[in-house]
Amino acid sequence: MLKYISKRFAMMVITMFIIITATFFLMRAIPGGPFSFDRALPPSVEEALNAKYNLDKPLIEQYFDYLLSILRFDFGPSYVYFGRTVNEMIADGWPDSAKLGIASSILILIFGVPLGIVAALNQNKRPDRAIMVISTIGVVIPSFVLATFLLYFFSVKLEILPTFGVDSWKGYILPTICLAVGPICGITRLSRSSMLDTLSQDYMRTAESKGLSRSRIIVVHGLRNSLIPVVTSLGMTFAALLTGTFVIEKIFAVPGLGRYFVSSITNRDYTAVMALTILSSAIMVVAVFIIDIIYMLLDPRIKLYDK
Amino acid sequence: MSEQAFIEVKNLKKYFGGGGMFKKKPYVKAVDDISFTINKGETFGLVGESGCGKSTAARTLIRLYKPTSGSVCFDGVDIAKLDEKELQPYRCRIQMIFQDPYASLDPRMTVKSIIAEPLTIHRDFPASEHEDRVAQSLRMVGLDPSHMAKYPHEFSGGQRQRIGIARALITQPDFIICDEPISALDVSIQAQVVNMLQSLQEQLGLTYCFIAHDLAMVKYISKRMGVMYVGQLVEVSPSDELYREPLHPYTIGLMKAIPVADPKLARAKQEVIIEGEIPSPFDPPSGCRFRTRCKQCMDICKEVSPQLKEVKPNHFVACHLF
Amino acid sequence: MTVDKLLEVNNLRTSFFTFSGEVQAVRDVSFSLNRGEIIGVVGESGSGKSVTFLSVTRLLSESGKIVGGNILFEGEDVTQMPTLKLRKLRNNQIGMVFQEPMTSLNPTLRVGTQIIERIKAFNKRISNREASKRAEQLLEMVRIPEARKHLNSYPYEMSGGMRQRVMFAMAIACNPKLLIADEPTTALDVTIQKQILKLIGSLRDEINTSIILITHDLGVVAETCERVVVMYGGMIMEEGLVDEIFYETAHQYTVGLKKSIPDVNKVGGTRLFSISGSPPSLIDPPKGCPFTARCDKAMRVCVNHCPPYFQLSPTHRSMCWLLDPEMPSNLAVESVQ
Repeated sequence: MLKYISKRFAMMVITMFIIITATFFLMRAIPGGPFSFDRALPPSVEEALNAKYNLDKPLIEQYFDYLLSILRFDFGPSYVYFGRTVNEMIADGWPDSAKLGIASSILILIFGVPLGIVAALNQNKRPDRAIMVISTIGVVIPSFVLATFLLYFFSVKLEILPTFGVDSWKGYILPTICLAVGPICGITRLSRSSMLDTLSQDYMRTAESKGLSRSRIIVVHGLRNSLIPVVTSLGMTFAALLTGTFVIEKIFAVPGLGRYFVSSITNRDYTAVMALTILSSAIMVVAVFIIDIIYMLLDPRIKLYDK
Repeated sequence: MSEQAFIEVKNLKKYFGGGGMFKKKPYVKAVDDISFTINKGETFGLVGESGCGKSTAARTLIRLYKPTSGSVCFDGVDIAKLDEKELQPYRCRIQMIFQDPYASLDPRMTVKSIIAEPLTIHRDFPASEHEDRVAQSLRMVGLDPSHMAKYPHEFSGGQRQRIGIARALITQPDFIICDEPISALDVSIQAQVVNMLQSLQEQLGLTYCFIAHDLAMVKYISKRMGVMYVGQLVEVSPSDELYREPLHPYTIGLMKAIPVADPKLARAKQEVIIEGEIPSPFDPPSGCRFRTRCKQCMDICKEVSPQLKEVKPNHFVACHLF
Repeated sequence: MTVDKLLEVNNLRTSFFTFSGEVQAVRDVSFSLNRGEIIGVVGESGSGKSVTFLSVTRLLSESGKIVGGNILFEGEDVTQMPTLKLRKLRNNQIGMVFQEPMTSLNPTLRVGTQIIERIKAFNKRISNREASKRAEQLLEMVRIPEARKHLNSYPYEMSGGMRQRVMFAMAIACNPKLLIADEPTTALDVTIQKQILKLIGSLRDEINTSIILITHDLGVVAETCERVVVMYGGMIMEEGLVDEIFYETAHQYTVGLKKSIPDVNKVGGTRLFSISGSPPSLIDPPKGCPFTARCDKAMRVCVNHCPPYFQLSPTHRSMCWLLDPEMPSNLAVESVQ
């Protein structure tokens, strides 16, 4: 088991290294730089800027410098917002994004899986039909449409929630719901089909033939096996939510990471783009690592692949 | 019989695995050094329990897998060493019938396109002839050509297996590997399919390699047969003789394990039970692979792997007792 | 007389309600089973043999319903049983073993856990230690070597034969009065099949249970059973002692089935006998004898009139018009084809 985990950990480190390397060189390969403005800068100014940010060193040297600084969790200065470091920008935006992400993840966990299981256990009966209709709608409605609708209803008509900003806890409610609805519906549908698949397995009939109670059959034999495919999807969704989402943050004027991400791409803010890419892929990679460990706990067969 | 061997397999080996990125992974010696011959127009039966390598042997034989070593002479040519392009003509002459009539037919293709598929791959056949050939092939397996536009789910298991056979026949092969063609079928349907395979053999002069775990059926259909155990052939003999006088302790146990559909004989039958489990091909026993379950195991069996030798005319056994 | 009967099935009808219509899987099946008896049920897929015995413990899937008849287990009607009672019946009266050892055990639970949960389901007083001791003893009974070690194994770590032994250990965990084994050896190799059949025989002696062995293999029946029920098209075609079925075969379907098996003792050359055609559709089952369409000796009467059972001996009955003592002999020759 330890061997499996350490192997996975090593894979994680290697993956991160590859991502960092690829982003670094890809960013440099794009024509134009952070200081190529519409109007050409005087050569002396440009040289001075390049020297200040070490852009005049050979590429390979810049790369190793960058690697070293990342090991110290130092993502360097922003090329666009002079005088600010990328670390400051992340520290500034991430808490809001993360709060939204965590809140919506909790919603997804509370509603997604249980609704799917309730639907599966009542297959083709009323609760199932209702859940399926609603979740289909939830999956197809884009989050910005939902956001506009909710804003109109709760903020404009009822005036009980703020239209923008996250100054109070009330500000988080609408964006959290908007972020959670789509994934909840997706997870519901996935859990339902996974549970239905499990219910039709031979071992469920074996469990029933042993005279076990319905609740034990579902919880002990059904749930665990049907959760295995759901875990992947859950983990990926959480990881994606944690790094912020541009559209919802924009609509509700949440000063989160999503905003920085987009602006740093258009501004060619090398260090910011790289930092944000590395951050979101790190979260993704860690999520995959955690998924793998949960997998191993849920399904004893996983260890087989290790041999 | 002075027939020239149609197919001659010599020291055929197929190992899976190995490689591995950082350290060498263990090999599965799925087929480990087997040799046998099949004469033209004959049915050679290959029996053995799961994991004995009979299917791998057959698939390696027709180059679905590349052999690890050894040679397969098909009509005088060693096809084990040919590259893909040189193999093309032989792919037409060798066809295969699969076990599962439900899984081996693409549910989204019509019967016609399923059967005609080998023709489109081999390209030697003009497209205008396809329909006629499919019709002819269907008639040969006792199905009406009007079924051509239907889909596999509209047929029963037995009929699907007939479609599988029609597909194999379409390139006019002279050698067909039947890999457990009847195992998934009901008893009354099994007999229909086996009878049809036999009539086709008589009409078209086909050569079969018939693989199954149902010994009675293999004995019935094949003239000679080989018994495999954990990747190796332990006995090769004419089928009748193999049943009358099995020599290898494993074959004896296998024969006695077949349930006899005759209560009186069953009661009179002396019990020979092979205890224990089939060893894993990852880690086969040293020496003779059957020694772990053999009641007559001797010291030599642990060290020396017995070679197949002819103890009676045409009857080969790999056992230190002989 | 009825005291001895462990199980009595009367006019059972079970149907599956599907998109294409009502599939009448079991059509009017009656039979009984004595204590300590081992009977074989033979039939092809779609003969209704599995469904009949899933009905006995009411383990049918959602779409399956018992639409008629009753099932008396020790005199109590299973079809009317309330849930809790039914669970108790499944738990400690009837043990079941299914065909696929690969999929019938939960892949994510240890073998021991799966046995113990049955022991503890209705016996809350038993301690964990006692329960696992009992489970170990059960694994020994089904002759699994190193029983204690294997309590902690997962099913994937075991071979098919071993898993099937675990299924048997689980089935007999609460000393059931009846053991239903549905094609327990079909997925196994012959040498392993032999071991399992021997185990079934010895289990009967050791725990004194009745056994119903469902199979498609006449050989398995001949070697293991005392009495045989032959099913086809959702009905019992013939029922009798094993010798009666094999040596005084009365129904044409049984005759055909026997003849389709190659005789290993015969020196080759002859063509196998085969029953032509395929089994009837059970969505729209034939009015008469279900075997009519494939029967060599079918008569006009067979098409529209289902024959009654003709009692050939106290233990042997069969439904075939040819057995009617009043059947004029000239009619018996006339064929519908």
